Order: sequence, then C-alpha cells, then structure tokens
Amino acid sequence: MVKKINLYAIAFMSGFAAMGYEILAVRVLSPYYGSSIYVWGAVISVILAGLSVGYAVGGRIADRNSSMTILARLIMVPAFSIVMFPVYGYGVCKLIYSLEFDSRAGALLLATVLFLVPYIFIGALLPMLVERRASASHKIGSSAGDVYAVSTAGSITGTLFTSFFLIAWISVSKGIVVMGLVFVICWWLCWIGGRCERAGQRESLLTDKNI
Amino acid sequence: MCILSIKSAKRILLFLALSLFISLPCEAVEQNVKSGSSSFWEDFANFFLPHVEKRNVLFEKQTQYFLVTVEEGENGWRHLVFKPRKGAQGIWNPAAPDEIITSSCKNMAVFVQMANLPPKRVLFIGLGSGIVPRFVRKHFSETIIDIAEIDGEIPGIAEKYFGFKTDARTNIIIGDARDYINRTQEKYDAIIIDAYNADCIPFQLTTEEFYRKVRRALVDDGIMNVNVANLGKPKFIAGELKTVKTVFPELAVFVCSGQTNYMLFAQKNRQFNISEQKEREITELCRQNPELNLTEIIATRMPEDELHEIVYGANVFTDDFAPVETMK
Repeated sequence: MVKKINLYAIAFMSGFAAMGYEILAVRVLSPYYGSSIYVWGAVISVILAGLSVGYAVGGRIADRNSSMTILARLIMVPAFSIVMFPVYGYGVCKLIYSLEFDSRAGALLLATVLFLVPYIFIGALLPMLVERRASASHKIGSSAGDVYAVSTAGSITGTLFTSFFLIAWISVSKGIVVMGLVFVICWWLCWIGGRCERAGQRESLLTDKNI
Repeated sequence: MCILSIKSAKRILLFLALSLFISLPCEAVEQNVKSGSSSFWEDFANFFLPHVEKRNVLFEKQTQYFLVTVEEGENGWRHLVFKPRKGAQGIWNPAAPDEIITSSCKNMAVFVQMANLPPKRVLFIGLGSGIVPRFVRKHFSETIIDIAEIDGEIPGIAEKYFGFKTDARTNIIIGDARDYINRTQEKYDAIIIDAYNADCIPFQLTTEEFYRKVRRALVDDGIMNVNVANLGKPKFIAGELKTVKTVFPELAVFVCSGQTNYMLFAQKNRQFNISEQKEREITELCRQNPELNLTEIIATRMPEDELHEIVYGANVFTDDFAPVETMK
C-alpha cells in the first residue's frame, strides 16, 4: 500500500511540476521574444517533443529495469537542472537572443536548449511508473490508466496553482526553483523506495542462503 | 400511472413561459446590435431594458489574438473593438476623418508635439485604429513612423475602415513590441505606447527593464507617452506608475475625463514644462483640430502629491516579477 501511495505521489508531483515549469517557461522567454503566439507554440511544442521522446525511451528502460534506483537517477536530471535554472537559464537566454535569429526560430531554439532535455527525463518517468504498477497488479490497462490519470490530475493542479497563485506570490525565478524542489522531493521518495527495495533484496538473498 | 402531476406540469409550463419572456427580448437586443432593424420584441426590450447603443457590425474576424469587430454607431462613428461589447480601441468619424474623438487619442496627438518638431522618427507600440499615426503623418510628411503591432490583421482593418494609410516612410513591424524594442538601434523623438486592452496586459511591456529600453531608444529630449486604460485595477495602476516613475523621474500623469485612462507622459531629461514657443507651435498645429485643446489637457494633470500617494508602497514591476494579470 505504501509503495502504491509512493508511486502515485511521484506521478502526481511530476505532473504538477512539469506543467508549473511550462507556465513559467513562457514568462522566461517573454522579455526576450515577447508573448506572441509563436513563443507559446515554440514552448508547448518543445515540451511535447521532450515528453514524446521521454515516453519512448522510458518505456525501453522500464522493460529492462524499473527499479526505484533507476527512477531516482532519471529524476535527478530534471530536479537538478530546474533547481539550478536561475544560475544558467538567463545567461543562456541572453546568449541565444544575441545571435539575432528571426523571432520564431530564436524562440524555438531557446526553448529547445532550455527545456527539451529536462522534459525527456520527465517523460521517461511515466512508463517506469506504469511498469512498476503493472508488475504489482498484473493489470496493464488499469495500471497505465491510473498512473496517467493521477499524473494528469497533478498537471491540472500545477497549471492552476502556478497561473492563478504562484505567479502572483513570488518571482518567476523563485517559482522555477519551487518546481525543481518538487522534483527533488520526488527524487527523495524514489531514493527511500530504492533503499527499501535493496534492503528487501538483501533479506531475500539471506533467506535463500539459510535455506 | 402519471409521470407528472398536474401541479408539476403547471410549474414547468410557468418556468418555460418566464424563460421565453426574458430570453426573447435579450435575443432581440443582440440581433438589434447586429442588424439595425426593429421588431415588436426589440421595441419592447428597448422600453424595459437599459438602452444599448445600436451598432451595426461592419466587419468581424477572429484573428490570432482577438475577436476583432468594426462597429458603426447610430451617429456613423466607427468603433474598433477587440472583444464584443467591450470598450473601443479606437473611434473614427468617416464624415470628419481628421477629427480625433477619444480623450486618450487627443492626449497622444497633443503631446507627440512636445517632441522636437518636426520629429525625425516616431515609434508607435500598438496600432489600434491608427488615429494618432494618421495625425502625425498629416502634419509631418517627412517623419519616419515605425509601428510595432502584434496582430497582423490590424493594419489592414485600420486601412480599410479607419482611414489609416501607409506610405514609404511608414514601417509596420508585426510582432511583439518587446522583441522590437530589445533589438532596435534606432533613436526616436517620440515613443507612443498604447498596447493594453481589458483582457490582455502583456507583462513584458510593463516592467522596469522594458522602460529602460524605451528610455535608451529615445533621443536626448525625446518624449514618451503611455496610455494606461483604467481597467478597474488600482494596484496595477499604482505599480505601473511607480515602475515608470522609477525609470522616468520626469513623469507627469494626466487623467482623462471620467478616469477612463491614465496618460503617462515623460520627456527625457526635462521636467514637464511647456514653453511659450512650444505652446505657440502646438496651438498652430492644432488649428485644424479644434477638439485638441492644450489648456484643457494640461488641466487634467494629476497633482504630484496625489501621484506620490498612489505609488507609495506599490511594487516596481520587473521581468522576474510582474503579476499584472492577477493584480486588482
């Protein structure tokens, strides 16, 4: 039961932070390229591309090894990169903006450089979570449905919370750090889950030896 | 067995009758706005409901950003509207094409003349119906006019319905004005900003960083004028005034009649002052536009102590923190 709650908590929080980061992403680009429909289109399409690649890659990783340890390693990338965004993000914005590309191409390039890789790793989480759930319940359809439903519920919450409240409370850079910290919490949950898994494996090995 | 009792049936019929009684007049008013014709229900509605000015819709299009309508009022005036039944972005009288109707446009037309005359280069952020660029072009044929407009459909609408004309010295830049002001190396005698509407205040055009770039793009005594519509958001207004004052200590604020708009005027490196010579220049230029009364406009200036009271405690908007959408 605890493992199930842990798994759904990770699904919810990753959905929450993924959408919150997306809302804030447009506000990062707006002082450079504005908030035209092209900027929105660039950010949304890059994020969807990252998630798409992540789903495919995550599925293949999940087929080999869907342990909490691997999950923790996957989450480390978005957690670290998003928490550290204020350190490098604005410098990258200034650098790419100074190349003076056409606004559409520039916005697309900047969004790709900043957001594609973290979202690949965010996308990889869901197939891993589905695989873990399906292994426990032996029901693939409902496992996939439940994990995606909980993750989407987290996305809805993240979208509303960020756009209705967070933007009004704190700055964009601090908001991004908050989203990064949510992934850090996910990483911590995976790390604890990984320790329990390894402890359980050692125990079963010892039991086998005794037999 | 009866599914409905007679009492329930009576209630349902009464409810349907009331709904019809209320909805038909409302529908009639809506049709009236569109068609201009009249029927019994329309007359009935106009008798009981608050009077809504009848406007014919000459043009309607969903652009990338707005549902744009061009509406013709009872007096023949054309209104450019970005959302049905919301305030007009511009009003033009085809029978008197040079007349300037709205208070905000009057303010902008008068204060653009505070720049060095004739201005070499003027930037408009937001085209709207093009009333003020038209005024500038009428009086200054050699001035280069740059217009940054995010919606690619607006220039065509302004040309077709509001008498706006482009020429070799008018450059329309379609795109976000923040991107333009970031990149431009041009220096302007005047920068006129009129880019907010009821549903959309682009935060990147309200921040300290934006106004620093505007100041950098002005010549040494260039002028800036910003139209901030009163959208019933006093905290936003206070923040905007404080932000502009932080970058332009020379700020003078003028309040249009009925407090519909706040006009933020600043001349770089000069406190607001109209010399006798400038007053003569403006009066001479406005001779053909009697509705442009410099004395009346100056009288709408907000006193300094009132301005200080408004901005006291307000936040300066920055690119990192400008929650303008959620401010009231």
